[in-house]
Amino acid sequence: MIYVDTSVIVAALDPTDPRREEARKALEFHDNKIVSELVIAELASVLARQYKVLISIKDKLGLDDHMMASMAIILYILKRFNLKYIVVRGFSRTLFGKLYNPMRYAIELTEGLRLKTLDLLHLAYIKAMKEQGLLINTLLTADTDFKNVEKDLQELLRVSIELLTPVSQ
Amino acid sequence: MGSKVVSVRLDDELLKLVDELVRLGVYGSRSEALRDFIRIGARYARQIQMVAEAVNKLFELEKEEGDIPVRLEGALRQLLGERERF
Repeated sequence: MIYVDTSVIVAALDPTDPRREEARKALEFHDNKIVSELVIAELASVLARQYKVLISIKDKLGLDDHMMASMAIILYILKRFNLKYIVVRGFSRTLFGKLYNPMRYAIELTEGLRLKTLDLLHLAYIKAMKEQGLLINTLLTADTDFKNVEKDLQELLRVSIELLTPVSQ
Repeated sequence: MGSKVVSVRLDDELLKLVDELVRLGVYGSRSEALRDFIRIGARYARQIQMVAEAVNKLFELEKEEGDIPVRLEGALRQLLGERERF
């Protein structure tokens, strides 16, 4: 099972990025691809900043507002690339009080990994999903920071990294 | 516009809320409260229906244009740059 990072989906939709074709091939080639709510939130955020694109699609689709257009685009992308959204459940008691499990895991992972917050959160979602019984063995990403800590990720999460590289490289 | 009587089974919690709103005078009766709940729900359901139809239209646009009809120029560079700043 493959956890798909937002960067791969965005790469597949970005005509200016040299990784676009590889991203599309990867998304079309692999089965059992999953995403988290963090991927959906990042996609919504990316779309909100591509305001002209969003408004143009909203008008083409005859929708009332850009939020509905954003939801339609995200649902279309999930369906188009056969990406399954997995709901993560659960809270834990911690020294800080009650914490949503992905946040708890993100904090715990800082012990072994030196990563940026959003990268850490994606890994925390993978850990939470694995705790729910999902057999995730690969993280598909265009973010090189994950590749830099692949050995640690193998040890901590038993997950390998599939990194998109630009065609020109 | 005609109307019909429909029997529905409600769980205790929802019925308690309905009765509380009637008691507070927000609604005149259980029927009035439930009609309003359904109207609010129907508005949301119509939005869901519109989004579902829009998803189908995006697939039609892909067929017409021969490519995914969502083009986000420079978006990956922006996303990865944001992660640097986060």
